[in-house]
Amino acid sequence: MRYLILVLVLLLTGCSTLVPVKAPFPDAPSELAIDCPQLKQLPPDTSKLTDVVVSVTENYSTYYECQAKHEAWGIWYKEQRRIYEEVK
Amino acid sequence: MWMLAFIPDSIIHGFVNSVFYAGIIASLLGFVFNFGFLRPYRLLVQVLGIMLLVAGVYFKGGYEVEMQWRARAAELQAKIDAATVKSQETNTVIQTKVVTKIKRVKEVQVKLQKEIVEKEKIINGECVVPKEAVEILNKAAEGPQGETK
Repeated sequence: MRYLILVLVLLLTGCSTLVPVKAPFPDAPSELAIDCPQLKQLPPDTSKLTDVVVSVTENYSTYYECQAKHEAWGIWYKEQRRIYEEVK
Repeated sequence: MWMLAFIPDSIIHGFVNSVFYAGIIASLLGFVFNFGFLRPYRLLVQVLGIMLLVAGVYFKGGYEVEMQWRARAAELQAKIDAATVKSQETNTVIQTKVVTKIKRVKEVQVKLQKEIVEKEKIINGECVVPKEAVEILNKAAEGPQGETK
């Protein structure tokens, strides 16, 4: 009986399908992994308009940096998807 | 069948062919060339021949299927390897684009700050920023409270 079970188990292994091929998930560019920084705030005692303008322009720059990263994420996704679909 | 993956092709191929051709030879000896010294063992050779032939055909079929799967796996692996290289190339292109864009943004930022310094007197000349304006700007820069992450 033991041998019969052993033979049956061995025969059942024929039903298994070996999938030796694995597609690794693609890495994103390291630059995109950096979070967008917080917007710059003014010191409470600010009275000069130039300090305000400097802060505002810096925040605009921060926005454009983030926009560039956001766009790049979109491109990255589309490209990786296209590459993945070519593999099928 | 998965166990076959661990055995080299040549050994499997040799074994399958041995069984198959041994089956053919034994069958021919048992059924066709049934003469002389083989006559007393006719039935034994026939049974052995059929068993070997059936096993040989079965193994040959299994071997062919296994080889087809291996070929498909190899083809897929090659495609995946090519895709991985392509993916890395794409990453490099995207990384370069982002870095260039950010560099450009920073250049503009530096240029604007220089301009602010140059025109400091004009900008500050006619205006003092009230405390309330600073508070509003800071609130705007702080973003929405209670964000969910």
